Amino acid sequence: MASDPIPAGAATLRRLHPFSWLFVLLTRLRPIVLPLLVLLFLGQGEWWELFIVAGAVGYALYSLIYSIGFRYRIGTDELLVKEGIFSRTERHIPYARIQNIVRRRNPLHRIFGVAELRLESAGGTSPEAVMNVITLAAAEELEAVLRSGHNDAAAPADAATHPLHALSPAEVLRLGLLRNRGGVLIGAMFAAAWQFGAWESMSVRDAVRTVGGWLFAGTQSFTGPLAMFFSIVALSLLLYVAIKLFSIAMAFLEFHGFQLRSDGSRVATEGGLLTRHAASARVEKIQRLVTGDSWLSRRLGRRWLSCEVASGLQLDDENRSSRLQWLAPIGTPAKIDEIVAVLDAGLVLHQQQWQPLHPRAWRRVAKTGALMWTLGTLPAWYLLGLYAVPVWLALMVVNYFGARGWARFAAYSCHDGVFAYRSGWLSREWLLTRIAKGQGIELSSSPFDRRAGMAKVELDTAGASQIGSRLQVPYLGQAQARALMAALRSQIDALPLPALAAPSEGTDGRLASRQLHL
Amino acid sequence: MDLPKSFTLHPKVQDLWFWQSLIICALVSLPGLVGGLISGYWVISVVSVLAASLLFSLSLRYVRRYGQSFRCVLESDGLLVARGVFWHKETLIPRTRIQHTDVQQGPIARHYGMATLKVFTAGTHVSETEVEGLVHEDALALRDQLLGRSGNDGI
Repeated sequence: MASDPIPAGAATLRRLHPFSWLFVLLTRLRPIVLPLLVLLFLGQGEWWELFIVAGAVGYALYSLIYSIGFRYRIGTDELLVKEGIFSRTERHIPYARIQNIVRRRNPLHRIFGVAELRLESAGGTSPEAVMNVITLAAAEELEAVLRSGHNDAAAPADAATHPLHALSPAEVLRLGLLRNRGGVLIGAMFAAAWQFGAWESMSVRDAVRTVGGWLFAGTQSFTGPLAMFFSIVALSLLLYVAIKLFSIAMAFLEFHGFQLRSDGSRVATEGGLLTRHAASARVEKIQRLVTGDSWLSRRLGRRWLSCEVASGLQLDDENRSSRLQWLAPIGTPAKIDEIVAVLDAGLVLHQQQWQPLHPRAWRRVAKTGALMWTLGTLPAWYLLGLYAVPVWLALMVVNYFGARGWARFAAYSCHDGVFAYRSGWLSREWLLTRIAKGQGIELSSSPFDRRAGMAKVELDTAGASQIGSRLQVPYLGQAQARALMAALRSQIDALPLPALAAPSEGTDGRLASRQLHL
Repeated sequence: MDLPKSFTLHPKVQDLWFWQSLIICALVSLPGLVGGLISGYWVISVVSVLAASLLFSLSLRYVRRYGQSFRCVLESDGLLVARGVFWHKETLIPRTRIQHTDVQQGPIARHYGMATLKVFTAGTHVSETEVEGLVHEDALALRDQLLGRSGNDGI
């Protein structure tokens, strides 16, 4: 797109799509749609309900006026946005400040041939600008301008040549099999069923019996504790299959046709079955890379890769999900390495020099785990009495192997300006960042740490998820922790690495892996 | 100015914490005390007062040890703050990563000429570092020196 000469009207003020009011209305009504439905179906026809109808009509009018009043202009190096009805705001957004571009298209958007574009910067709690909605062509033009950093007719051709990574339907199916996201949905369904009293007529025991009845219909004599046991096993299997089916469906909804593209300076992803999400960010704005696998994914030879981009919008889950996050929801380890090498060659896993934690780290993990499991199973002791002993013993054995496995794998690497930490047992995770991306260093020790002569070191980065893993290395020897803190400290203020000479025209710009001070 | 430069707590900071602990303990024991007196079960009043005084003496020990553990050093590359009684924490905020700072004073702190310095970064988990109980002039000097230099903030 950017290679096209900028049309003569580029510097004029533009408006949103004529049907924008519909989308603005739908976006704003989304939080109150459930109460509205309840009112519609359960309403008693009271006079005050008219107020709510009047409110909805007023909202529609507001959306209409708002979207007519919204103007924007693509300047040479900044975007001008004018919006508001009563208080007009006029914002100048330099292209360099835009950290993330998120494009969203749901089926309704596709019917009208439009897209919602959301531009985010590092600061602030709301996006810099939300274009809700503009035509797809206008969205692509604006994205091309933002990607190149300035409105320039001679900008390099759009790098979206061929994708760095793309998911085939078989791969999305595998992704669904590996994930358990469907469990959340099923849990919510059970909770809803509980709420609305579906259980009152049928207790859990009856449900188990019923399933057992279906499974062993022929054998009338099949009663007693053994039947109960098999029914529970069958029910669990059924639940597992249901979770996997839902997970597969959700994987297709989110990642059907997923593609990752990068020209070395920007990285963009796109995917989704009904609602298509397109997100992009400049590569040097990526704060941290997170990659991981699970026991099952190792059997299939697969791994995942995600990134964190700095933004003021940290806590808003809805926005978070549309931000550039998944670089590769699933891919072979070789493919993941290839992607990482394009983004920043220094962050490739096998280049790290892994150092183990304190030799007695596994004991700390085992003790903590044992305490947690014991406390967690206390109710079972009341219910089962002495029968709880074998259960508890089995948990302790699993806990022992878990702690051993965790400590064997856990390690950190602080080498050549890159800090990395890996941990996990069945599910494993690697966190990698350029030390110069660090925002603060913290060395801390609990009373237990001090008794064992240990401490932990954390390198804080911007844009990390509040609930996600922290780049924090626990169970280090105290001297080791001090040395690590000193090493991080000496490298955190390192001057940004000079970008390598621009890739020569002939070579594939995508593969010219620059040393980005990530 | 010579670096590294250590900043100590205000000499009267123990007094500030004494009054703060006293107010909190009094507030905690108040419902029990009043409830006991009104209902006539004076045992409740006695127990709540005893519990509050125990809490008060423990908190006095805690703040004394907190004061001993406190260390705040301005170094050439940033601010190093170490503190904690049970959980020791040593935080280094690189000078170039500081987004903004804040000097606050509560009513008792103002009486003693004390202030709290808050240092904010763009980080996630260590984005706000609080240094409580500094001499007001020290806090202002620290603030000015921390913001003196600019550089690449790494984002």
